[in-house]
Amino acid sequence: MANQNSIQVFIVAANISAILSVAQQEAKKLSLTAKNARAIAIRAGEKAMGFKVITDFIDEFASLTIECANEINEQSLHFAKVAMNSSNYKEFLRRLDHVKMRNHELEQSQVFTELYDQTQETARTCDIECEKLVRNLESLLETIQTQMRASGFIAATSKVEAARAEEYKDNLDSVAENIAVASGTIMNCVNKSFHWLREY
Amino acid sequence: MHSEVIYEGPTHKWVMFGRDPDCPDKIIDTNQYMIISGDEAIVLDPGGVELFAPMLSSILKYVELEQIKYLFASHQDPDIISSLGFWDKTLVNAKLYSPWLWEGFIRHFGMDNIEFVPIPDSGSTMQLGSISLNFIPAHYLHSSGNFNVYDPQAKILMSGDIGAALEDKSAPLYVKDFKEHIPAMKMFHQRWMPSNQAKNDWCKRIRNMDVEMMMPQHGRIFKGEHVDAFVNWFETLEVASALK
Repeated sequence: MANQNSIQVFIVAANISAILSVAQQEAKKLSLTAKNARAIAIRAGEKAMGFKVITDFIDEFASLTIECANEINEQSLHFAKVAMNSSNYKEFLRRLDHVKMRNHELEQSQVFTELYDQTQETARTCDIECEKLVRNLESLLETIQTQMRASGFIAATSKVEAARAEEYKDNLDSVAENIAVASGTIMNCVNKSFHWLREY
Repeated sequence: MHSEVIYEGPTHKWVMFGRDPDCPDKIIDTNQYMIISGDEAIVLDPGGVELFAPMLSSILKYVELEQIKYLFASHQDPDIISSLGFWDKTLVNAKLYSPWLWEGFIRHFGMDNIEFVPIPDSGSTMQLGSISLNFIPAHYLHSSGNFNVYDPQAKILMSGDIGAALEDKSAPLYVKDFKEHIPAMKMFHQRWMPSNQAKNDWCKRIRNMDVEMMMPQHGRIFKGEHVDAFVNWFETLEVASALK
């Protein structure tokens, strides 16, 4: 049923927006972790040279993830609104069909036909916009996914670097662990969002 | 849309939604509330149809869709419940608590799936997770069938249009200086509230209750001494101003 499908679309959009707000929070934590790690690396000096470079990467990933999550939030909200409009126009069309069924003479009415065609066209435009927004959302989610895969790799490298940092090892180990956890959570959010998009 | 946990206790929490930056200028800004206890949630005065998308997105940051078991509409106005048609298509096995008086009117917003639970004029209680909520009569303030929601455990009163203020969307969430806040509330109460008798009756009833926070559907939240200051002010205010 077309109307039911549109209803599911706005639930999909609302869920993605909610899930990505969790990813956003995690990315903010990741950014803080990067700052913390940089401070430790500076204190550790020569013993954590490799770590300092890594923190710049983490910061960059975190910023990009926050940016993408912001955009996804905005777009998914817009997506929900367009889906609601589409649902409303389809409901309106259904009512116009009822009117036509009750009054067959209206099929000859130019004003009525124009109203019907215009509504149908607007509903179609909404659906096209929904499709476009879904593609945009997919592309943004893929960007985050790529970032997080790299971040997962960095977490592994960080553990190696931490092992060389002597008395700073425990601190840097915990930084590496934070990176791994945050990347995992964000990745999980992205997977959940893809799952919702597949529902659409 | 801004959302914030207003109260968090061992058994439940209150979340406020509002100050929506995308809300069109000519549409009055509204506060929505949700109470979550265990795996159940109720959305109080869920808002107008234009708010549905931002509300649903914001709500899902706190609960899963299946947890929203109940809606409450203090009265029949569009800024309270015109989103009902969309909630009806979104929620499964949900119930709407609302004044019995408005059932035939509220159904015009579209309600095929949600069950209407009529609240009798004298009020009633409901169980949400592990807590009880009381529906307190506030008839003619302003609607002829109208209820507030009282949470005796958290001592919170969701007061609907009582205590409402017409302010910019950037207004703070809480009343800081009661006297300074009066101009934003005065005309609203004088013009929208139609009965001095109903107003005095409500003030008497609220004085007998232990209220630490009063949350209206528009404007700012009252805390502690500001709740008493509001009741004192409201009691002396002459309402139904259009009759003069």
